[in-house]
Amino acid sequence: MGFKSDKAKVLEDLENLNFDHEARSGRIEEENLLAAGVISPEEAAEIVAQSRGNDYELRPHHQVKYPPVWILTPLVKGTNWYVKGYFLADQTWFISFHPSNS
Amino acid sequence: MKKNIRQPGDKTEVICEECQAVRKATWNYDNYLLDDGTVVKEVMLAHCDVCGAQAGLAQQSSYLIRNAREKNKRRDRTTITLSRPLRDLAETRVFKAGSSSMSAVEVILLSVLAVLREPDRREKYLLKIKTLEDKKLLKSGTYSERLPIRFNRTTAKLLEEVTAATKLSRSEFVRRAILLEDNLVNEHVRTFTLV
Repeated sequence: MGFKSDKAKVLEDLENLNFDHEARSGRIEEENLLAAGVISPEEAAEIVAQSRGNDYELRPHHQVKYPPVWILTPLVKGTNWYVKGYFLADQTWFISFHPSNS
Repeated sequence: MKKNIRQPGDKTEVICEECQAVRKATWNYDNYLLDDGTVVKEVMLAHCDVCGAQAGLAQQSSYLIRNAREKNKRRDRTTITLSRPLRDLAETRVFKAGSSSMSAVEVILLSVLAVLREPDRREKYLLKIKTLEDKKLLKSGTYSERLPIRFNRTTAKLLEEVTAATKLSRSEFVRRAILLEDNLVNEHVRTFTLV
């Protein structure tokens, strides 16, 4: 667990399509552009790949003690992104994937 | 790749918002409700084994969400009439520049509107359109061609503004747009042929 290994796992899961999304109620088409098919897994990987160590944060999930939630906030071509998810059942689950100003 | 396609009955673990706990869940097709009330059918969802809530959305169903969103962003349509020679001219202009997924008339109309969108050019180009009346092609032939034109809300609003300013019908405006040819318009035509 940590920036490098979490980033690598997210990229690996995007590459292998080993990911799904939290089916959260509400505006999934705005809060998770990957789930909404607005961006492709390849584009998502390009965004995640731009993350640096100081773009990474690990937090407890607001509802459960485990697993923790990781947050990536890479700056890509002038746009800050907000990517949030967790690892469970040996895969990535995305909660959010959107520009941070939307 | 195959192993990552969820099938009805497959099991997983997910955080269930309803139970506020990690739960076992079972994948199955179900209707999924978007925020705007749109029901997306046959989405692969992970249902919590304890409470039955929709807890997971499979990545394989993202295209269904995208298709539903696209359908909601329905484009405005109108039908315009023009003569065969004018249509031939539109097709020739666009063919010269390349090819497009849009119709040649749509490409030219959008190109002219792209120029008119710039406030410092609008007056000059509206005058050009108004003074095209003597063009022989504008008068020749009957308006035998009926073409559907599609545009988004912004373009529809702009078209409304310029037809009001010129006191021309939509069809007449499009006919004149086809005749409006200069470097600036042609530059936009070239851009739209990349679409």
